[in-house]
Amino acid sequence: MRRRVPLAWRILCHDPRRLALSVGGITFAVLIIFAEVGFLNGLYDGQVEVLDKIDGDAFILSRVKFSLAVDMPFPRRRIEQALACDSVVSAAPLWIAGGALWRNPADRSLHRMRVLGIDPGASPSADPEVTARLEELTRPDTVLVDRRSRSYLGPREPGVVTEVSRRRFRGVGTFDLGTDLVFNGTLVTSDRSFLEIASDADASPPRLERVELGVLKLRPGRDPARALEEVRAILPRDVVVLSREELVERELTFWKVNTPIGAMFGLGALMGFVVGIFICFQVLATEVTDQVRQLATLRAIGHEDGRLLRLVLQQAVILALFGFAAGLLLSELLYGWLDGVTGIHMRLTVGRASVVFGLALVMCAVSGCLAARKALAADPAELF
Amino acid sequence: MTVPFAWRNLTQNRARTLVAAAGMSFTIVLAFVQMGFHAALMRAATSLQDRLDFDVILVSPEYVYTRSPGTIPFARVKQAPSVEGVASAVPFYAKLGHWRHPESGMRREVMVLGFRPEDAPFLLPELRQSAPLLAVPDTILVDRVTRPDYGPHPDGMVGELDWRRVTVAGHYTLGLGFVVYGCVATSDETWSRVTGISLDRATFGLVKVAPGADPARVARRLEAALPGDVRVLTRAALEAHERDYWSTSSSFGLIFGSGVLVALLTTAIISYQVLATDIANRVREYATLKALGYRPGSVSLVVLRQGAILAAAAWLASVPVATVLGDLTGRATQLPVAMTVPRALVVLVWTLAIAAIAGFVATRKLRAADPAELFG
Repeated sequence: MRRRVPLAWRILCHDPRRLALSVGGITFAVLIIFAEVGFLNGLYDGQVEVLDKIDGDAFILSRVKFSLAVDMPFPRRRIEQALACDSVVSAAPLWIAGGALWRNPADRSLHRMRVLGIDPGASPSADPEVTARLEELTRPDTVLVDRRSRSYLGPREPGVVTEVSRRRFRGVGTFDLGTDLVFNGTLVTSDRSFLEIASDADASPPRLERVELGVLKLRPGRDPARALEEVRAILPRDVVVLSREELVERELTFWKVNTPIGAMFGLGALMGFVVGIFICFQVLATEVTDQVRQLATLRAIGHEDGRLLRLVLQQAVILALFGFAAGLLLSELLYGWLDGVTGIHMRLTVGRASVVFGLALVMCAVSGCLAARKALAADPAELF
Repeated sequence: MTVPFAWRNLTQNRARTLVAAAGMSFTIVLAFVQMGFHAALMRAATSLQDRLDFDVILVSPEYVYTRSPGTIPFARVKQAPSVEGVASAVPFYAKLGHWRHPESGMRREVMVLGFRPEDAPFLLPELRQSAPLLAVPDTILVDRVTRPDYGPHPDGMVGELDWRRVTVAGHYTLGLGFVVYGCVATSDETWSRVTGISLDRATFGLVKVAPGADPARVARRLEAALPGDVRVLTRAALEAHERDYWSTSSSFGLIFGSGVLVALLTTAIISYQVLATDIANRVREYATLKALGYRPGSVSLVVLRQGAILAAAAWLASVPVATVLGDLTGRATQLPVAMTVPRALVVLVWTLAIAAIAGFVATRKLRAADPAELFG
């Protein structure tokens, strides 16, 4: 078979400067989509990020706790009761309070942080950085500080001494968690220090008998669904028992229903998409206009409409590929920067990148079809 | 110029002009929506403070923002009237609590406002009128703008606030936006029972200055007279603090701000594209004008005028759409995202500026070019 001339490719390469500009435009659109998709997912991820730091298969929480971001504790006894169930290997309490008052050690400004209290002897932490510091946390008035807390919280490196909820605390280590819609930073401390940090000057003081989460590990090899049923059967109705997946799902649903994040960033991604269509159409239409004689010649020598359409679409796809590739590389920088500024985890997964790639392709294909109409209108006779 | 070239250019191919204007309108509508969200956020920031009746406010040194206010000793509120220029000072209480959905039993976060019924320190006449109803212990007034997913709350219903049974005695319209999606108002006594906090600790001290007194000076005097366990802020200072918190400290400010930025950028790019394409398509016509002896300036003027007409038309078309959309979104989300005149004007100026820049950049090529070349 005769080797085909890669016509679309040659047309695009004909003017490298213009090609670079065109790809730049599409890259810009792809970057907008990346940023919006990144924020959208990052914000949702952020709401359940804390669960990634906890080593458990299932969780006990108060029946009335409607979101991980609110403090609604339940009796600690439920955790011990759950242990009676044969399928439960371990059950650890986790105390959480949203109102820790952190004083920026540098400028003395006050900020709200979340504090997680763990029993250093039965730590439910899945974070090696936290686990490595359990010994230090047993000492009074020590905390671990989230490195990724917003920058206005000030210095947080080990050794830092500052006031937390009206008391002096010493930072003995850091860990990596990040911010979310509610919390600008997180502290981890021992159960005893938790009582100090979580104490509101006015409300009834917190008690270790009231915990926020019970972290369960289930016996390996058992059917998790049945194990959970067993635990549910034992425990009174003031708590619910959810598998990790159920809790994540429930939490995400809460935020999807209660915040306009989806709408806002969906809209943002749509804007990127529309910008992309415009830019790509612009590029292809100019290309077609400039080459209208060549295209007419192709028709005159017998190329069918289908081939011309394909030719334009091929150019569109090539542009999409280049634009996406450049966008992908730059999004790495963009995500790193946004991550650092906001503390929101901007994660790029294969799935998410594929969504953006799909959008980039559709975007260029749509504009390709629009531009091709111009090419098909080229009447051979008229042009010469 | 005798021939209205700009207008004729636009009406020559009506379909194309319509598509161009529609494309621009689309992005302008999106910009309006994003700006609406951002404005709603900024309004929400001071939604409570805007409705409280005070000139100077006493807050805790631990005050972070409305959701995390800390408390002050009630004694400071009593001390305040002894300072020169202070007409009155009343305590105000506010704390987040949770409201039990009467049917599902699920809890929802609410702001619980407490005040002495005889004070009712609000700028909302409705709330001042209903305040005497709160003299009955364990009664509350419910904000109508509380989100529907909090469940029904008709007059006379017995609901559960934190762990206490309370009766709905009436309603008012406030709406705290993003601060919290539900709000109830109650007497100081009931507030204390619900939250478990003693009335010796107030959330705010609301100070009214004597007629003619300067709030800033009264604030300085209060600052000097009262111990360090309170902070004294004027209304302006408090509102600036709230807005600053929401726009820079919370993730919301960043999210909404970036939305507006991307939307305006998109509007700019699309408008530029539309105008630049149109100019490129008519390069020969412009060259002809040049060849006919029109000065480059007047050719540029045609282009600029054409861009201005197109931009204005796109803007004009987008305003009613955005208004309706804002109204619908506002109703669906219970957020104040409705269109405002200043916002409409800001976008108009932006669009016209972009059109001018696009026209200017595009005509640079025309100005420099030799008419003969342009036919190339």
